[in-house]
Amino acid sequence: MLFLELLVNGFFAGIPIAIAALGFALIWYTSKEFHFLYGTMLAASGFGVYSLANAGVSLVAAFVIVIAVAAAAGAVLEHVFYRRLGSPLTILLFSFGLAIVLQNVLQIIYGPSDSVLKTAISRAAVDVLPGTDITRQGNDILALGALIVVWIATWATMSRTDFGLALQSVMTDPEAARYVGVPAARIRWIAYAFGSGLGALSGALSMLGNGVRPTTGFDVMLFAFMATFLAGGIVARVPLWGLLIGVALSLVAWKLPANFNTLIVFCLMLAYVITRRRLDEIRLRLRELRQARPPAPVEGAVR
Amino acid sequence: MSTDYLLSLASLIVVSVMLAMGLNLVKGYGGIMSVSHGASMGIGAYMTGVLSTTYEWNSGLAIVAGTLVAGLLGWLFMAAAAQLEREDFILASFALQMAVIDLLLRWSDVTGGSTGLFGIPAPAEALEGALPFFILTLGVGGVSALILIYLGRSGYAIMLRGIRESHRSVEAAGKNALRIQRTSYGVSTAFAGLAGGVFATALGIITPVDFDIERSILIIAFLLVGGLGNMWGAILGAVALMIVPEVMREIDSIPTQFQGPGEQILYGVVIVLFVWFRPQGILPEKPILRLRRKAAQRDQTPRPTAAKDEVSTYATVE
Repeated sequence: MLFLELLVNGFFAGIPIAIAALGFALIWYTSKEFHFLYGTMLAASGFGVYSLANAGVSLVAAFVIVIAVAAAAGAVLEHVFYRRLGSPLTILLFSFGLAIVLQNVLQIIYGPSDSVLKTAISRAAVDVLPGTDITRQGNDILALGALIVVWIATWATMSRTDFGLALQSVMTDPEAARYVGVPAARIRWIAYAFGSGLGALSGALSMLGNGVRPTTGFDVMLFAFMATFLAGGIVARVPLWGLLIGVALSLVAWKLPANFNTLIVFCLMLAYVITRRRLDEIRLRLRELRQARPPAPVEGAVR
Repeated sequence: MSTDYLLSLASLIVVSVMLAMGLNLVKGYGGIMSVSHGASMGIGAYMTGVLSTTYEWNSGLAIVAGTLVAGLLGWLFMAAAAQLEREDFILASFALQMAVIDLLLRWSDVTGGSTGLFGIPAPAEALEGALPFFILTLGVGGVSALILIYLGRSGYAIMLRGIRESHRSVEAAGKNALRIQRTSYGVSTAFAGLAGGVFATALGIITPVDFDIERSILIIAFLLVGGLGNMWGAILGAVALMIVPEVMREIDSIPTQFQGPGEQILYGVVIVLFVWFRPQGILPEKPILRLRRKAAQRDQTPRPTAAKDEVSTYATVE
């Protein structure tokens, strides 16, 4: 029973991570640039919804405004600033500087502790597993719906449209993509816009659930980063890893002291990064060995 | 502003200079992008803290132990991660950074958890005051700086720069590139550990937050502001970025609740402006002497500097 409860908790805790990871992955895979500001923009979007809703704007309108603003900000950042900075190191530091500024501005306006937006939707209780007494708040179901929509939409765009094809080509090899006429520069800022919009969605959904504080963005980005990395370049797999990270963080509490959860996840990640290449090599070697049976003799063949 | 405060600030600046110069060896010369130097500093600081409080070692000895352990761990990490591709290496060092800080936070029986360790003594009773301690710090920092400046001018640094530009050509010249990377990373993290140990004894209190990922990135920021691949640039960058928040603190017209965030904002703005207007840093890397002479003979030869390369390769991309 405890196991089931932890599983469900972890799954729903993983949803904001999964959405944020999807956005982060779109940016990282396309540009290979560490957009450090991503997390802080996510938190800022949460606060944006908070302020707008408190000012009397309807929740739907607040979501739309915040996502549009974040997407525009992402596109402008890439197109005006990052493009001219060039090296990944300077971009990392530039966005790190901006993130410090934004995070502290948020702290001055909203204070360092959690802000939560309680709305009618988060008061509704929904029975998620029939036959048990595990219920979730309405906002969790909303988040689940949002995740499914953006997941399918991203997957369909990536695999069914010309734009998705162009995006994939830039992700695989930007130089080669440019040679065959893909407008890599345009694809890049569009990826930033979509990615930032997804980040804003994740932040806005977190605001309805557990709440957001200025440093939330960094924590979520951390796990989004891990999911992005674990998915190994396949965008459609990123949300899955986000959910798995949520579940893993929650399930560690089942057999081990709960406060060791992140430590274990980081150690696993370190071990995985270092050994991944070697594991791949071993796997390849094994496959070669398996296929290296002596070829059947061919009549009259000269070797 | 009291003299004691100024002196402890000066000690912290010396610590920052040591960190920046240590990282410069691998990042500036070797082109290895490590985001785990905060963790190396933390290992040095916590070794010093735990050994000198719980086990009552002399803290000078504890600093030496912390330096060695940090260096050894750096060496081991590089031995495992040297062959990773650039992005994977950043990820690995990132994971290491997070794991170390998490360990410091969670292993609270030994490290004191998020409240940290306090009451870390100075190496000797004669050094208890701010002034004697600052002199000691300056001595340690000065010797480290001399060693690192020497290393930066030695053939060793030329090999590191060679590895940065082309791994294979260094190996073709008969050098073991992986071994050079391992040792230089070990030396670099050892200096970070030493800086952490000095930091711990200077403040007397340490918490895991002092060594988190933001610290690692700030050390990179020191380098970028000062100039990569150039030891004097590292010194200049660390000093400049350490003094900025202090200037902010001196302005009395800002309400106190905005002071902390205000300092941080100023910090962020300085980094952003620097990266935007002078990405090569205050002092850009100089070409190796012999190459410069050759370049002077044949005027059109492009100067093989890293900072310039990073800018110019980008110009050709778009």
